[in-house]
Amino acid sequence: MIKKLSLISLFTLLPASYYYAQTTVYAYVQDSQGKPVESAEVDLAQSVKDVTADKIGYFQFVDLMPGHYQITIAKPNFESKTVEFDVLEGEKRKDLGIIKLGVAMSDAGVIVIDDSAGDIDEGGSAMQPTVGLLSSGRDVFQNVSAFELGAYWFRPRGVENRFEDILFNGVPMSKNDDGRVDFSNWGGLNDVTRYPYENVDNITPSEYAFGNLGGVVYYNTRASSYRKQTSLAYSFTNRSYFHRAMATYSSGLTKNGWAFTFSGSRRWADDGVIDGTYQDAYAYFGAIEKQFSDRHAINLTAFGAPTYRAGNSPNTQETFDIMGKNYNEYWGWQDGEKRNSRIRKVFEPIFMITDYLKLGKTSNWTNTLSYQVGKDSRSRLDWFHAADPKPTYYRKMPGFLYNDFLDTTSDGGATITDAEQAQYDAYVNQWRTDPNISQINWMSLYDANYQNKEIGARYTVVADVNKDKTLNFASHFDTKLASNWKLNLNFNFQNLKSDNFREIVDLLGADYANDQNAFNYDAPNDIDNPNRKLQVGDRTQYSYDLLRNMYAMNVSSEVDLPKWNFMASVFSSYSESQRDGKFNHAVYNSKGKSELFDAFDAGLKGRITYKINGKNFIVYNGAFFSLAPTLNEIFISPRVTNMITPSVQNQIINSNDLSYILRGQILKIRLGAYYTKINNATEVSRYFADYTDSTTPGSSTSNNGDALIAEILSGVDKEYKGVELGAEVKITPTLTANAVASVGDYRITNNPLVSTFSDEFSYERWGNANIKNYKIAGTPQKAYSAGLRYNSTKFWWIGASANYLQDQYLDFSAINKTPKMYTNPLNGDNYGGATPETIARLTAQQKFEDQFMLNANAGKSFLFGKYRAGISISVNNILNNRDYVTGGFEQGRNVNFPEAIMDANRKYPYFGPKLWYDRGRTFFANVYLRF
Amino acid sequence: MKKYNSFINLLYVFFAALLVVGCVHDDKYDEPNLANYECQDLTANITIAQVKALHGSTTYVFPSVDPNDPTSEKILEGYVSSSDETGNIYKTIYIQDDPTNPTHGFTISIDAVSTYTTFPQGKKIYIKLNDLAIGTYGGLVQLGIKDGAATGADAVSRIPESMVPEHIFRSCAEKVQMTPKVLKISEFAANQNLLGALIQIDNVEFTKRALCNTFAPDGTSVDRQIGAEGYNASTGNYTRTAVVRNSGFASFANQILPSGNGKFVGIFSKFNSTYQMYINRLADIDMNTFPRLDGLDTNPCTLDPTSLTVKTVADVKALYNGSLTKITGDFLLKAKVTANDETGNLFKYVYVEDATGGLRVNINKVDLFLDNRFKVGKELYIKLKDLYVGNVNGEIQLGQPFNGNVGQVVEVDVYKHFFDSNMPVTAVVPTERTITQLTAGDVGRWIKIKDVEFIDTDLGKDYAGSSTTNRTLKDCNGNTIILRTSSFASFAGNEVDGGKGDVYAILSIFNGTYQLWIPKQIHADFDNTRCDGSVYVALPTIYEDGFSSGGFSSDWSTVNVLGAQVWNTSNTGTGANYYAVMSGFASGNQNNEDWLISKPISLTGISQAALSFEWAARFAGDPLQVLVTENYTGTPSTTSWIPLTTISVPTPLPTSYVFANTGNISLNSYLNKTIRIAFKYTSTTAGATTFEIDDFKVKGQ
Repeated sequence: MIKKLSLISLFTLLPASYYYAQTTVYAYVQDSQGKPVESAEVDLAQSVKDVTADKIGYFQFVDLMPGHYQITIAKPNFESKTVEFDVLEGEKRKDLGIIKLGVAMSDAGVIVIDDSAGDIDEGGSAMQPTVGLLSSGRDVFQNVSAFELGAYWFRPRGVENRFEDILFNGVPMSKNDDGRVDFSNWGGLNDVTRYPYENVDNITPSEYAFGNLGGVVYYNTRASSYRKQTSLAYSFTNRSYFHRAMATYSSGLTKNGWAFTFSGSRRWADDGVIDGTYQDAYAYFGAIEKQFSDRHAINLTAFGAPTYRAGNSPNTQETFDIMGKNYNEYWGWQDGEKRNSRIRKVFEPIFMITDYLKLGKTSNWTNTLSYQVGKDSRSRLDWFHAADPKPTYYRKMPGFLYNDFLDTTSDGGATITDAEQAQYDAYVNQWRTDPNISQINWMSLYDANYQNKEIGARYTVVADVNKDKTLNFASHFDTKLASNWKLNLNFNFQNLKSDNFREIVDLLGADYANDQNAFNYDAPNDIDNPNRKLQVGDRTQYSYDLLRNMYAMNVSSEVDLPKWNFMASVFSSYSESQRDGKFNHAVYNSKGKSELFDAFDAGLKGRITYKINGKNFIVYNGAFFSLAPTLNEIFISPRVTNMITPSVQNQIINSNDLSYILRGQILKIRLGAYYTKINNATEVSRYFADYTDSTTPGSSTSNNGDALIAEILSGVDKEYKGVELGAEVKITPTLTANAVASVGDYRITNNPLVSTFSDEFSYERWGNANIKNYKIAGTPQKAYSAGLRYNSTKFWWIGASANYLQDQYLDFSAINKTPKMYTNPLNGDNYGGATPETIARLTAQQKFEDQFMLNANAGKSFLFGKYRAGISISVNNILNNRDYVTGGFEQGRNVNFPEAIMDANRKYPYFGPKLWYDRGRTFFANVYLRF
Repeated sequence: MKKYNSFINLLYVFFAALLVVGCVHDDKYDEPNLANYECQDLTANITIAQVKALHGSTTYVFPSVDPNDPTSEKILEGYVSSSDETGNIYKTIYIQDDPTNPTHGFTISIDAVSTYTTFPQGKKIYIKLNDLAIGTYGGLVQLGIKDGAATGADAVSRIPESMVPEHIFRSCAEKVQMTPKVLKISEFAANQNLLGALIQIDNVEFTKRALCNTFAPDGTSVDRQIGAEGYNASTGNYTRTAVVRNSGFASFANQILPSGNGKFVGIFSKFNSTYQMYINRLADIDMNTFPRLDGLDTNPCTLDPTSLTVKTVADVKALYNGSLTKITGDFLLKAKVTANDETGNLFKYVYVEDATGGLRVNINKVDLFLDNRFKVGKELYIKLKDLYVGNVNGEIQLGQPFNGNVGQVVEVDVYKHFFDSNMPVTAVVPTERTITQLTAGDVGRWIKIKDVEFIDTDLGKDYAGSSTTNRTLKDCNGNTIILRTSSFASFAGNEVDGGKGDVYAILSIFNGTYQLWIPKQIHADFDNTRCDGSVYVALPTIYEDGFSSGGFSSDWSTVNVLGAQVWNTSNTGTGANYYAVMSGFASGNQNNEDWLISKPISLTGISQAALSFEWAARFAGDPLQVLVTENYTGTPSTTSWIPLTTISVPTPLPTSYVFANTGNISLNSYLNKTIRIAFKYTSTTAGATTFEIDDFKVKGQ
């Protein structure tokens, strides 16, 4: 049931002059054991005459004119096959014989998604998983970006997760708070999500949704669409988990019209590669279908993935240098176990009922009602009138030794004396040998609570929880207005109620916790409810609902002509969002409903294909649309206020690409260029900052200090441009070489306004950040890959690739790029020493070094009667390169020039950027058994 | 097929086994047993009294442990008397020798916060003294370390946090309840051994100066006074007073001080000659009993606006009847604070404003800006009854009588008249005017005047010299207005901006002349091109001498023509920084003529040049002449000098030396020449001024 895995399948045929002869061409599709393969899709190029093989694998094309043809036979779980043939004049019937499809072996390059960076209090935007990683279209560029470069956080065209769409039966999986797809909801369900029903790249129009910049992946979970088989697989790896076990059963369609598919998996590791990380993730999936007739079926789907995962910290370079690249500050010893303070627990099961209706000869109407409910919780340590328990708190780092306050003979660490070096080395040794220093000292936290039992917890573990209830209705209608003219209508309604709060997870031995804000003179967190003594499970600090209704409508149509193919898609949507506060904050208006924020979106996408001949194509894609802000962007600081971000507006996105495609028997090439412009973006990041004064002329208020702030960039304009090349050469029938290059340039093109919201200082405007031409972080902007693969006819393969990554940049904080950073608030002039050169040095964006990565994989499949088994192994980063920074962010703490320059001059800056490094050499070994 | 069955079965078993054995942390942990966690009981071999006795007049460092002599390890024990849980006590642990009946207290200075979590109040602790040191801070003997930062002979530094585990140990015994030692303030002097102990003072109250104020302003430590043991209504003095020192970082800092009489409990300490107490936690003090010693019988800090008639600023000004007027009505003024004394330019007064106008309110209290009530942007409630309005040089002001006119509200009355609205600070919006639009009704208002610049002759000068100074602003139409700045403003010594911009200021009036007062330097931030299109650039310095290390370098020649006194350098009153000085006074005024002559300075190849220096002067006498020559003969009398300027001692005669900057004295007549600058000092028996010269600069570009 694969439908045009990608646009490319359209071009797998050669044109032919087929206007007069009448030949029937037929063949049988079989698997490697000679069993018929039913329902394989057979694409005939430049024709809308695509057919489906029947139950015995038979298919035919009638009335073919003489000429040269190419067909592509595709079927889930099998490798697609392309066959070329000639129809001669006067030939009545042409038998292509038996076409054998090999079993797909695409499990080799499993990508392990790790989202431990998604913690808003730490800031940072890098390391989001990307849909590109999941797609395995047949285009060599997409394949290589996903399986070779994708392992190193390469994102095609720099497109972030937020601009990608994944749909299950028409239900979008993007979260409303940040617009990102949360893969953990179906992580581990690889068996049932291996073959998307539709998978379009980039801005190519989709039949099921309008999509965005990053393509659309549409999964159909219809029970009968899964191949009848039982599958067992076990994987052994050293990535974020060590073991994976998966089992899947599909009944196929029974005689009385029922079909069942069940799948379950578990992924776990008790101690991962990064110290103190462990995870245990189950997943289950069930689909039951009843076909009442061949025109009507109903499918019930339920899936969910109870996931439990310990986080790993980003670290400063000083910390990595002392403790190594596997260091993780989030854990400490307790009970002889490594206890991690940052645990993410997610379980958000989703239930769907889908009705499939066939209307007339060429129309289909599919309706899905879905409901998702669950809890996503991220824990962390919290403390009340007690010292920061983080081992890497800057005052506890060995480099703090050089604090100029400690010794007047010290210059703050700009130069290091021998005596200082000796002391530093001693501290470093302590760090390396004493986990009570370099890790969380849980015992001391319990002890602080124990020693102060009568005044309530000093340390607690709390969790930031969000409980979403999402109701979704999706309707899809498609019809053929003519044999070469398709029309699709999509409607979507979504209702969200998102309950957000912080809860007490562990009192660490205390009898209760105080519900007070130590940063505001111990004011009650909910002034309507003072003096609460909190127990485990009680809410603290904030509690609010986010409510959102969204209606979207999309119409698309495709016309296929001999030389041209046109597809267009339009959409419009309306959404209304509201915050409903449950706690009454001591300072801000935070209780009750906020004003309603509504947004109206519209857009247009189009694709034009010109078929030069059967092997050469030119394709243009264009998109122009608006994109409403996410809840995260609409509400400036939802934990404390109902305030809506001033000047938040819809993004305006314009994207174009042009490709040349060559689909030869030996050589396949795609060469393309793209240009994307995003205007009016709002970007919110939240972190601790240290800043002085509010210096708007005309105001003489004054204050300073540390504060957790939300930094808002308003009206950001961005530009993404580049060229992409993918090439594949079949050197021999079994040896294939490929080469991929993606040369991009993603940057900010204006100096947007920066404003902040902090508990202490409320809303402030900082002026424009001088970030024009700063690069967009989160992906290498340039990447190259070259690979070789040998596919033996004896069911084994081996492959290797060399990958080169370039132009990876550090995510920056914007407030220290504003003139306020270097303006002395006392007189409005630059601080002494704040010359343009010094400012440029302080604010320059950090660029990371180029990296080389070597990957290899090998596998073999076996047959034992009706049992099929396979084994595969892939190894990434064979050279164990640990210098690759996969993500990171600037700490926004030094927002005034004197402190910034002092910190920059330190050998060990207190607030250097926090980074994640690649985990080094990783392997993934997989065995499976299917029958 | 069969031959594979065993293999398949094996796989099944393997698969099932995997799911069972794959144990992962369950994130459930038992509460650890904390009995005896990080504790030990040592045997003390030295008492607090003995330790304190080791300290003489300089830092005493405990010698390291002699490995051959176990008795060389010195161990002190004590009970923690303090708790830093509220943050009021900072980086200090106080101990005493007994939890209920102490004879000695002691102070440990430690570079760590929230030490109470490990060493809570009432915990018995042991301190291994070897390698630590005792010295003083503010006269208080305390334990610390002697390191490079402890530069004074009797100084110690805080014990670094990393050293704590090796030196401070806690007993395995549970903490005990501390019973504060009851003391009277009058007994403080006799009980200095108890410094560091927890004490209790009964029947005590915060004095009226502090009444209705917060414990401390945000982020700033302050002293609040308590009084006890009797009150003299006629003098308004208590028999005894003492200081309670509160940190602006304390979690209770923003709370209003208790206004009644009662029990105070805190740590007994001392700073120099002043005894002071530190509150551990708010629950310790119970001072809510009325009547107080001073007779107040109800809490005066709450305002009941319902019994008061609200007046506007214009109403209040209209109350002025031509001479000093007492307000007798039960009136309330609600107005927003627009300017305060944060930089010292305004001193002992604030301005408030409402829609009807602005008003100066005089209060005899320093650091008003630290008081929540007087923060800029705060709505202030003023209970007007018994206050006065008067006309001071044309400006109507609010206060209390002084010398027949309106003066300042005395500090002990502040609580009676000024109330916090408890509303959040909001932006202060200026009234925009041009210089010519200003009217009498604008006086007292927060004003914005767009596009003004300092006049040319003010360029290069500081905001204020040794006394309150007028500078002149003009707009591009040539209209001018005075900008007046106190010499006590923190920015008085900063050079005025040379560009054009918007000024934000309080409009005042002095005998018919408008004056602007900027609360902060930022309010005259002029960075744009000047009206004439020029860009003022501060001239770079091409030669400078600050005489900073004392003595004259070879750049200078001093010539003594007459009298015994000569040019010299001195650092009296300026710490390590020297200046040049000449005084003709020595047991009376003397006749003198003394020259201080610079080296030749080349002004070749530059298009603009100027001289500036700092000067201070006292005592009547001849002005100091500043001269220039292109041809120095080596003898002043035979050289042809051209006068540049003269410096005269201000009148009235200053009572102290306050340096002022000359601003730029043009040297444009000497471009492309090489010149020497000379200071010619003369004095007579009739008068001898002392002149001090510093920061001598020749600038040019």
